[in-house]
Amino acid sequence: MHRAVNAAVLGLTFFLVAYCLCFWFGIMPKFYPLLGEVHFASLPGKHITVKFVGSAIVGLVAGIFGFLIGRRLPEKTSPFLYALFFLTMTGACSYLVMREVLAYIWR
Amino acid sequence: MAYYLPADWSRFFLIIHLMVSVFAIGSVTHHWWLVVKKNGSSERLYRFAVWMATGYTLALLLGILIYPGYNVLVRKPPLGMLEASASWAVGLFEIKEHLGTIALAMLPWLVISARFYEQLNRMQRISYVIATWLFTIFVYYVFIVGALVTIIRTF
Repeated sequence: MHRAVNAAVLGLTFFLVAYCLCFWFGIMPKFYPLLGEVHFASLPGKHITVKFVGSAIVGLVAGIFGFLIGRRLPEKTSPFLYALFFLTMTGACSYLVMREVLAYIWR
Repeated sequence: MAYYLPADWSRFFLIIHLMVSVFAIGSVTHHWWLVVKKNGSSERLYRFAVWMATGYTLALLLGILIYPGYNVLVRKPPLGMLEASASWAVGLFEIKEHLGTIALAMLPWLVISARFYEQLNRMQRISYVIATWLFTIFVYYVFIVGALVTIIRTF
C-alpha cells in the first residue's frame, strides 16, 4: 500500500470534477478580465486559449489540492477512493464526449 | 497583441509537435507492453513511465502553442474553413483535446505507481493496469485523430 498512489488518484478525481465544471457552467469566460480587455474581433485566438488552457489550469490546481488531501487520508479509505475515481472518470468522459458529439457531429 | 502564431511558425511547430508525438507514442507503447506482459521490474517500469511523462507533456505543450492559431486560421470562420466543411472532424478534434488533458492529469498516478510498484497492494496494481490501458487508448486516440484532422485541413 502506498499513500502517494491514493493521493494521485484523489488528485485526478478532483481534476476531473473541476475541469468538467468549468465547461458545464462556462466558468472560464469570467476570468477574461484578468487577462486584460476582451475584444474578440481584435484578439482572435484569445477565447479558445482561455477556455481550454484556463480550464486545465483550474483543474490542475484542484488536482494538487486533491493530492494534498489524499496524502492525509487513512489507508482504509483506498477502496472508496478507487470507486469514486472510476465513477467520476466514467461520468466525466461520457459528459465531455457527448458534449462534443452533440455540438459538432450530430448537429 | 495576437494570441496565435502566424501560419509559417504554426506549420514549423506542427512538424515538431508530430516528431515529439511519435517519441511519446513509442514510450507509451513500451510502458503499456511492460505492464500488460508483467515482465518489467519496477526500475524498468519507472524508466519508461518517466520517458512517457516527459514525451507526452512536451508534445502537449507544443500542441497548446499551435492550438489558438489552428482555431483562427484553420477551424473557425472567417479565416478557417474546417468547421463549415467538416464539422464532424472538429467534433473528433474537441474530444481529442479533452482526452489529451485527462491523460495529462493521469500521468502522476502512473509515474508514482511505476516507481513504487513493488509496494503496491493487489487493488492498486489492478487499478494501475486499468489506468495504463485507459491512458494508452486515450493517447492513441489523440495521435490518430490529430493526424486525421491535419490531413483533412492544415495551416
